[in-house]
Amino acid sequence: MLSIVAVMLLAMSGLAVALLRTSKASSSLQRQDRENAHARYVAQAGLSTAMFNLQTGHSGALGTEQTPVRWDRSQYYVTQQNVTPEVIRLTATGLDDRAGARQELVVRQLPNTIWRFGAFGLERLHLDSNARVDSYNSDTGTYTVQNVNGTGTNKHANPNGDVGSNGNISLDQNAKVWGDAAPGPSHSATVLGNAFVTGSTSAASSTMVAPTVTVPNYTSLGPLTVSSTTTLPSGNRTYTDLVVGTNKTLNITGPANIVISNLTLQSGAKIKVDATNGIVEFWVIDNFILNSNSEIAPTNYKSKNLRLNLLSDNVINPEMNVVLDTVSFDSNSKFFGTILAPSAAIVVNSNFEMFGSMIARSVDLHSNANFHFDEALMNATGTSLPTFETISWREVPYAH
Amino acid sequence: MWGTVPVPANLMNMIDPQSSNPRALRRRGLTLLELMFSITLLVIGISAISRLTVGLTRATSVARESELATQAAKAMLERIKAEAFLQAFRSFNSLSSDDPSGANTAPGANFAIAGLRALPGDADGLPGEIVFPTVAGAPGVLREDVTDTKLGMPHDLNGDAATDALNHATDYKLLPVLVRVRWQAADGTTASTELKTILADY
Amino acid sequence: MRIPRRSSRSGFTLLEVAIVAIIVSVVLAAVGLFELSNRKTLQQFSAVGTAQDHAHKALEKVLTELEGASISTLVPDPTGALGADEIVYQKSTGVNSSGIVVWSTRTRIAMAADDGELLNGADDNGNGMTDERKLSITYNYGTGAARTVTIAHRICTLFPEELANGTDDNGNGVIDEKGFNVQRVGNLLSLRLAISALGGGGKWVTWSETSTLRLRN
Repeated sequence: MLSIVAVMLLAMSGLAVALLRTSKASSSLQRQDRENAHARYVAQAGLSTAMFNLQTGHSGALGTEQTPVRWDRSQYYVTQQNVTPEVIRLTATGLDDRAGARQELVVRQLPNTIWRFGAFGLERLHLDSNARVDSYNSDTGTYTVQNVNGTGTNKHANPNGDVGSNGNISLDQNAKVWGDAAPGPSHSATVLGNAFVTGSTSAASSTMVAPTVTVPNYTSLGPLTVSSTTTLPSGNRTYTDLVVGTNKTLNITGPANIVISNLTLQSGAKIKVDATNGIVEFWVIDNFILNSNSEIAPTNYKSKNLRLNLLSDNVINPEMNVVLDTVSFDSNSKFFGTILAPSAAIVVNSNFEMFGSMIARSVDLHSNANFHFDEALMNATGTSLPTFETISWREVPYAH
Repeated sequence: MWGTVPVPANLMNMIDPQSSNPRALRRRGLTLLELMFSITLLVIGISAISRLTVGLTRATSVARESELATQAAKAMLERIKAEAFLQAFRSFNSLSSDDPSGANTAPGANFAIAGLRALPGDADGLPGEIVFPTVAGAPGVLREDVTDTKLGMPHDLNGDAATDALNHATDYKLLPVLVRVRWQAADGTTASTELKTILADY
Repeated sequence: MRIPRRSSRSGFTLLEVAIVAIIVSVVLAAVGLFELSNRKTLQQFSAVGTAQDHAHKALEKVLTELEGASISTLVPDPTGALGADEIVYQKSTGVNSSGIVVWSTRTRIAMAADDGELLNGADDNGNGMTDERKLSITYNYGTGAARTVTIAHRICTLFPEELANGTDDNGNGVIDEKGFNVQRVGNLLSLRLAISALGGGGKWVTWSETSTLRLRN
């Protein structure tokens, strides 16, 4: 009798033990899953805090394996590694109870301005026969004061006169670049003859996206021919044909936005921009002609105070009826400012001297064209906080 | 007890050879005491095991609910992560007038979960809740000076190296967020689970 | 004839034995019935629990696989109301010394007919389910080193409450989804899985799970 009872009790307790085991197994599995999920979110919290630090100008490293950062009841630590000067790898490890997780984020620091090159040809860039590119800093002083390095034909100011393209770059004959020549991703820079590039010629890792030129709409004041020294007050205006006569000067007081259909500076003509109270920005829709010895510059010769946007499209498209616009920089003309001409093919066939930065559809610099990139443009946007783009994110296996 | 059946002695011997031996009598059969004892044991054993079974089935359903809750919390966190970073706070706080695409267009801070019942006293009748560093009564104000160890607060949220009481609902660079699920379990008790992380713009 | 003295120790009367037998059999019957009903409920619960465990494990695996996937490498790109019932993707394996991402080989997550089953409308493997699928991950898909791992069996043909009729019958945002479904809305990926398990009394129970994750690459 007792044995029967004992057998039954044994059977039932056997069932109970089996039940206990399965429920314990699934509940411990659940707990493990929950802890793993927690650990992943803790790692993510670490990554976010590290990115926050990077974005506010600090280092992305947080805590160490021995002294992790505490976050409520969990901990994390983040290490930073600079893969290249602009590419940063952050590795965050999150620890929650018995679980751990590790994630890796790779970001690239983005430049905060498009004005980083002496000349940038979106489709291609070519320099030959004594064309030169170097750099200086208009905030430090004039170009003449900084033009003290090297001798003779190799005299230059600073070696940050980069040239770039989203396509190929070619240099020939005696072209000289004191800076980098950065072709687009998967493109190349060819340096032939006695041409040289003092910096790197390796391809950029991303393309430059040039902003589109949007011409603002102001009331048209018709044509304007400057035949004697004229001063335009600050404000916004549109002209159809603006011609500055031989050796005449047009003064413009900033801040001003000026839209012009055709701009011509006769030989010796000058446009001087007084940017004490604000910059002056030009939009030229069709023809832009600088004749010999003409000059467009701010009164303080700082290129960040003058912006020229060329809507001009002088590249013939077989299907379209496009009027061939003239973009011409003539001998000994000088321009101080930034030029944005994403539709224009700019060919400089003379001693044209540019102080600032130029972005055009394509750039051909010949015979003694002289470009001086203005380093002061790099901080021209006013903000000094770095921005980043995410390149890659992945979960890294982590064993406690 | 009710009288024995008279049996002739020799028959008795044949049936029960030991009946005449008083010493052997003690080993044979069960006393009523022993029987009662074994039945009581049986009953105790059965009730214990059945209670265990019932408890385990209840625990299984509670575990399943807890699994549902964790899954729902994870899904909601992923959804908040998928929102445009600077719109996440205004979309998922409990203030409907600051929703980025217009009043009442955003999901808000409370959400339902299929298979879970909210607590009886829950203000909005939904078991899920999204918590940001805000102060009670001002759900539209994202503050850096809130004290909440779960969220890691107080902490600078907009990168100006200061922890102030201003509203950073539109200029935050760091966003701690906690998703809490509180529900009434199958056995009537209150159960809750939480998942939290910190979001940044990347 | 000697009448033996009545002894309280030597056995029981027939009546006593009969009554005890009745009591014991009643108790045993009660216990037996209770055990039986419990076992059936238990089996039911454990079947749901089993299905839940399977679905949960499989979905977790798919989630961790897809979390590092790059949106631009998804084939097919499961946008749209139908989603997709298979997916090929590549994950980042880090960056090289120039800061360029190195992508992994392709991985494929897809369903196939479950072991012993052919997709012919009949229960070929005799387990009570018709045309059930299994979910497999194929690493190095499309290369000679392809390796397939099965992560879940007994996946339903169609999602619970869903019929192949062109409408979203169960109101979960996907139309005519099969037992495994992937859908992308922006950088949010939804994964759905429905698994069956055999419960007590030969009844099939289905457990369905949905998970979402934000794609990061």
